[in-house]
Amino acid sequence: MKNRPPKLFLKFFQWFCHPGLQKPIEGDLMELYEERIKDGGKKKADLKFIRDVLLLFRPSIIKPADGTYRINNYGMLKHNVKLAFRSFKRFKTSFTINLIGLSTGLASVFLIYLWITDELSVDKFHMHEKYIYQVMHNIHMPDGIMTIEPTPALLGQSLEDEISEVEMAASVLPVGSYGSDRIIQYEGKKLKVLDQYASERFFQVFSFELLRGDRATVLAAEENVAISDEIAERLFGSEIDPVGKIIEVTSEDINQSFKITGVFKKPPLNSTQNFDIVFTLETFLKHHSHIREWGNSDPGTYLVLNEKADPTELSERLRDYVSTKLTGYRHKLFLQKYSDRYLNGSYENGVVVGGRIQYVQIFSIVATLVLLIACINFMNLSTARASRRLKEIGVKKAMGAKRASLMAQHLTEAFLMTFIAIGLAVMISVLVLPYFNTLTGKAIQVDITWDLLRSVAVIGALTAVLAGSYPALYLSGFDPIKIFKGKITGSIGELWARRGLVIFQFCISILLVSSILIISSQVDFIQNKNLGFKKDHVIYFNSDGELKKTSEVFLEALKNESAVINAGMFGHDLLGGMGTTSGIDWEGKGPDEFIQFGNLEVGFDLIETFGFELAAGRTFSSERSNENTKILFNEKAIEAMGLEDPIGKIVSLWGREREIIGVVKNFHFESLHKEIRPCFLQLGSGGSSIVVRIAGGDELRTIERINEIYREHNPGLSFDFKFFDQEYDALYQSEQQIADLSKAFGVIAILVSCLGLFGLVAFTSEKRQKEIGIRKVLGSSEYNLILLLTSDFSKMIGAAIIISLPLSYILMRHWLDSFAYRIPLDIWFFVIAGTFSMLVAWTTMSFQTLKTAKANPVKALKYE
Amino acid sequence: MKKFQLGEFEEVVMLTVGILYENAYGVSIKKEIETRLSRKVSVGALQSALKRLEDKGYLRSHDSDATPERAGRPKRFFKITALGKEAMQHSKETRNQLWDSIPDVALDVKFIIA
Repeated sequence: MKNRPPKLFLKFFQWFCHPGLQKPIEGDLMELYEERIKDGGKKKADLKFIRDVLLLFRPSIIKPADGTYRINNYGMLKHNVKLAFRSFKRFKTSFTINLIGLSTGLASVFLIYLWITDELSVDKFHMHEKYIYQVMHNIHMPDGIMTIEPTPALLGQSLEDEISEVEMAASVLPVGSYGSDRIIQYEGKKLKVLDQYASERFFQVFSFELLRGDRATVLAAEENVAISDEIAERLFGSEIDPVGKIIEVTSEDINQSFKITGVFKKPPLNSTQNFDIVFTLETFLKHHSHIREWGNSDPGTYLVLNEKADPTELSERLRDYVSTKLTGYRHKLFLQKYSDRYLNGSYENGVVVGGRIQYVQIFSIVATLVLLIACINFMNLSTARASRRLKEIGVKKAMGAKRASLMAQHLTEAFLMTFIAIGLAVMISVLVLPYFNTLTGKAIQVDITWDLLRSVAVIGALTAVLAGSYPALYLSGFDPIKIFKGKITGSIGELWARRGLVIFQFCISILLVSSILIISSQVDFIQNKNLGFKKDHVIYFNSDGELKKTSEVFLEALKNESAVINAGMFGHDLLGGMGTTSGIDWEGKGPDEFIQFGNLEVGFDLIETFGFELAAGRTFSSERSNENTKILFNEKAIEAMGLEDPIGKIVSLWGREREIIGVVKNFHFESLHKEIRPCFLQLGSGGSSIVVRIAGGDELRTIERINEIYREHNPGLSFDFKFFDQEYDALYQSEQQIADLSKAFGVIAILVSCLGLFGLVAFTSEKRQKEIGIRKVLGSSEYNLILLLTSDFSKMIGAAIIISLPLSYILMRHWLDSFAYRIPLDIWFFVIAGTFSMLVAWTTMSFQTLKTAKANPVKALKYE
Repeated sequence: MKKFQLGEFEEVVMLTVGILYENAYGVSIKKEIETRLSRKVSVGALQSALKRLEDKGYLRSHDSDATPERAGRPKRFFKITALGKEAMQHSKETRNQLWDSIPDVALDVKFIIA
């Protein structure tokens, strides 16, 4: 043949054409081609051939996608589903085990998924979310860099004016910066509010919902104020329009009236900023004018960058921005995305080092592991059961079933299983959600959205594929001839795969168990550590309103109560966040010596109220005069200053002489993540809170009494007190949550693993029923039989222990390193974890092995 | 009426198959239509029509032995089935009926100047 049509198109035609039509049509094409060459030459014929092929590419000519012969897909599916249900029915134990395992695993994943979605949604609701950056402040101190939020108050406006990439800037003094609660008044009605002070652009930068007022002008004038709908309701009721009303603030620092120009909706739960009222920053600056200088930092600065801005580059450029305004300024700035700060809020040496994001990661991993354990159960039980289904597979193969259709059958089983498990898991999740919320301190609600449904479907499909693919591949791979000759007894490789999976399961479980042990003892250790003071039976509340002026009378009145042991004023709360200073000079201080002291301002009797122990000297006494020229140090400070026999020595604090009258034993005035630092106690002018120690027993009555006295002295305000120990424990809330959550997941993990183990043991003992019957007849003891049945599994668990304990040692050492005060990493934790896992496994196995070993051999042997 | 579905092109193909009688296969049908009706017929359109008619049971086919002039490919010959004949007749009759029902005046188009 001389002339050939274009090869590529001929091949294409041969590929797509329905095999039944291909040959005759190809013949027609060739015939036409030959003719056309004669008529108009090869080129024309080629073109026409190509045109014909392309025009043949139409549905009725193209071969069907699923093969030449039409397979009844629906029928096969029906058949597979039916078989799956039959197998569920026949193997009830493994069905139940798989169902429980998979649904618990899936429920864990669903809950964690909800939790993570919630965590990730924090601060993401702002319209400009992608472009909001916060200016962070790196304070360079001799012992490292401390990263703080407060920046100079002038920074925001200055950046907006000078830096072209900055579209808008807002300076915000967050709630609580002033210390005590803010009280607003309207026609004699008093209300405690969470007060925030913000510059003009606040409602433009952040998209908090503004119900009344205009975003641009709401904070334009100094005496403007915006209140939340909740406050408006409480202050004015639902009838009166709050806009335009005048409210008053009378306090030590701010004393003026304000005009309400806006009402906003209370910030949602997933906002890190939570406030009731927004005053203008101008107001605060007017009354605290020192903040209007570049050297003083108080408000946080938030920027909205324009789309073209490169935040990394800008961050670098702003590093030394303040020093261009104030020569010699040593501290540096950097930018961090505002919505990232919730999850990445830990800093080390001025660099972001994670934060809550680590917990998000840990729990995603743990939930996935639990699900993985459940999937392994499915794999193990399905493959172990293979011998029972060999004949079925053999017959199907002999009848011409392809491997793909056998795989489809087993995958259908896995998918069906997962589908049922999803249903159960959703029910479990919904039931457990309230407890989960208390455990994690969240208020998660399930809104059924497409996103959620899609995630559930994706998680389910992944689980089914993960659980089902190995059994499907394994079961469909047998050689039918070998099956019928009875030559398949389970290969060595398969046995090892199953063993490996069991070992892996138990590794994870043991890892979790030992971690739980260590985490909960560390949390216990923190809660019961001798802090250097007694935290039980102590309540505290803010000293506000009238109390500021009449505190002494009020304290006297309290102390007259028999159930009140002691009471005092305090300028600090021992929960972290306190002033520090290096402004102390002492005898023998070297020129380069630089110690940062914690500054605790206390009232009379405060030291006694908290029960700080004295190492030497005395405490402040209201009976003596000139007590405000005296000072107390903690032992750490005395040690750091190198003073010997300190009592009576004179030091100077900010240039003023102070006599040391006592030394208190070290106590923890900050989080246990930090080491005790040097600190001093001086008599404060007026503390911000009042601390009361009450007698144990009838606390409620005592508190009721204190409430009455409070109302007498401070009419019109509600008595909001806190128990110190509760607040203290709240400091370690995230550790406590981790401990609780890991406990829950650890228990689930080990239970699911044991379920799997139970299934496997049940299966092997059933398979070896005859063997055991014969052994028994021949005189084997029950003990020997149990040993026979469990020894293999015991070895696997032993291997798991050996593998997982070093791993958990490494992980836990890393975690404990984040605490300055921590428990030693004892060998006992691992011994206990190992023994515990082994015991649990044995107990699980014993249910089945005892039954098998005790069974009457006649029963096992009589059929045959 | 629904029983015999025959499109215009399908009908042309059926008729041509009838005309060609023993010699109706892809190329010959295509040529016959092209010469008689002077319209272009692509292989694709023809083949899918043939397949459709065969699926409907109006045509049946058999393959000839391979011939060297077609690069060793067989010819697929088509024949009209009894059902096909009925369908054609049905189509012809309905058309005739329609023709007969048209009043003569309606076709006297020379008076109508639009």
